[in-house]
Amino acid sequence: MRGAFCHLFVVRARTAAAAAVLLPCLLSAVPAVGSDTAPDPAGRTCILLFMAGAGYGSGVADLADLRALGEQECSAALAHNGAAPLPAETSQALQRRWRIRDGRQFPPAFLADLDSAGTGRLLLVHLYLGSDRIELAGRIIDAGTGLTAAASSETCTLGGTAWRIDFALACRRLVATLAAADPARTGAPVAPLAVHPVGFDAATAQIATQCLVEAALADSACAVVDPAVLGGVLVAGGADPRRLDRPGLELLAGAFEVSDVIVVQMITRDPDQAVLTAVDDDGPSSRTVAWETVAPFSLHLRVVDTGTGLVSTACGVDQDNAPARGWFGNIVSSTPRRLIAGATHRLWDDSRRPGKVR
Amino acid sequence: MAPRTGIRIALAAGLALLAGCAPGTTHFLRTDVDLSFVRRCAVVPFHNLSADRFAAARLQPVFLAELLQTEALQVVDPGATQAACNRLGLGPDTTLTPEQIVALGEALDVQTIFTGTVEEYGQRRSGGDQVYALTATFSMSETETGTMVWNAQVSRDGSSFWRKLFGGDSASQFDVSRRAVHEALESLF
Repeated sequence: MRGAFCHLFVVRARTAAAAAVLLPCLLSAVPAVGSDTAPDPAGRTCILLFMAGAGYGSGVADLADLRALGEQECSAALAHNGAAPLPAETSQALQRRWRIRDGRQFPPAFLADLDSAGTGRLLLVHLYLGSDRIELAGRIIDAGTGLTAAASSETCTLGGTAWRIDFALACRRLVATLAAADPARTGAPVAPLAVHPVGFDAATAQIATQCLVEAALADSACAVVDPAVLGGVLVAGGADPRRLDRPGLELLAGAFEVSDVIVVQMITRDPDQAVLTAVDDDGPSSRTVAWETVAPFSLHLRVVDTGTGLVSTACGVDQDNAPARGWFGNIVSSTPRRLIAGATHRLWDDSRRPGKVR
Repeated sequence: MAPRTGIRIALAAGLALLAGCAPGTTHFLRTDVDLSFVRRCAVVPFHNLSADRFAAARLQPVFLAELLQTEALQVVDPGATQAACNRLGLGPDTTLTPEQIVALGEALDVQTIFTGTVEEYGQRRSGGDQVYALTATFSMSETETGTMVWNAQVSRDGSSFWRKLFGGDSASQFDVSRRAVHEALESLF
C-alpha cells in the first residue's frame, strides 16, 4: 500500500515536472491569432468554467487542479487573441454572488452586473470528464444582448502522462476557434431553449444544447439567443422552461423580440435503461443514461410561435449508436458527442425546411 | 380463359390476401359533429401501459408532428398544455372526465383535446423474427361538452411482405410509430 502510494506520487511528480517544462514551451508553440492585436473593444471577458458528467474516477484525479489549469489556459489564450480576461477572483466573486453553479442558466441581473462592470462578454466553458477523454464545449455570450457570438467544441484524450499538454492545447484551440468566429449576424434572432432530457443525465442534455447552438450558428445568419440566458430570464420571471406557457412566451418575446421559441426534447431508446423488468418494479426513477454511454435516442424539435402559443413546426430524428461499417470492413465508431452533434444538425436542417416538416 | 385474365385474377387475389394480413386501424367517428368548427386543439400527455417507461414520451412528439402534417388544426404547444394541466391539478396518468376536458378547453382556448394510450411498444416476435411493434389508442374529445368525437386503435409492426420475402431487418421503432400514427389520423382527416 505504502509502496503503491510512493509509486503514484513519483509518477504524478514526474508528470507535473514534465508539464512544468513543456507548458512554457507550448505557449510559444501555439500559433497566435492576434498576439499583437489591440484589446477587445467589447470590454473584458468573464471566464466561467464548469465541470460536468460522469467519469470522476477517470485519469484526472485532482479536479481543482484541472479547473485551475483550464481557467489559466483559457485566460492566456484569450489574452493571446487580443481579449482582456476578467481576473479570476472577480469572476468567482460574481459567481458566488449570483449563485452561478453550472452555467445552465444566467439570471438577467448577473448579466446586467457584468455589463455595468465593463465586462462585455462571457466565455462559458464546460468540461465533460470521461474515462479516456475530456470533451470541451465553449460559447462566447454577449452580456449586453444575451446573444451567442460563437460556439465550438474540442476533445482531449487522457491517455498517457502528458494529458495536461493535450488539455492545454485543446483549451487554446477552443478559444482560438471562438475568437476567430464572425459574430456579425443580421437575421432575426432565434431562441433555442436548453434541450430537455428524458432518460438522460443533465450533462448529456448540456452537450445536446451545445450542439444545438452550434447547429444554429452554422446554419444561418440568424442571431442566436443563448439558451442559458433564455433559461435565466424564464426562471427570473417565474416561468418553467420545461412547461412554457403563454406568459413565458410573452416574456421571451418582450425581452428578445423573438417570434418563435425552439423547444427540443431528447429521449432515450436504451432498452436496458427504459424497460422495466416487472410491472411492480420500483426502481429509482432518477436512473439515467450518462453522457459517456449514450445509447440510441430520439430528438424532437418544435417551433412555438410566441404570439399565438401554437406549434408551427415539429420534427424528429432517430439516432442509433451502432458502429458504422466503412470501406474494407472497417468499423467506424463515433464518440457520444459526435453522435449527438450529427443528430442535432440533421434535426436543425429538417426544422428549417419550409412547411410543416417531419 | 385467356392467360392474361388468369394473371390478373391471381394478382388481385394476392393483393386481397396481403391486405387481409395487414395490421389495421379500428376507429370510431361521431357523424353528428361538424369538424369544420374545430380550429385549435391540444395534445395532453399520453398514458403508458407498455413495459417501456418512456414509450408515451416518445410517441407524443411523433403524434404532434403527424398531426401538424395534416395541416387541419392549429396545435397549442404541449408545454402550455402541461402547464394548464398542472394548474388544474391533472396528474400525468389522470383519465380526463368530461368536466375536466371542458375546463382544460377553456384554459387553453381550444375546441378539441387529443389523448392517447400506448398499449404495446417495443419488440415482438413475428414469424421467427424480432420486429418493432406499436399498439396505441388515440382519442379526440370536443371541449363544449367533453364528449369523445373520435377514437382509433392502431396496431403496427416493422415487418413487411418484402422483408419476409427477401430478408432484412425490421423497420425502426420510430418509423413504425410514424406509420401507425399516420394510419390512425387518416381515419379522422
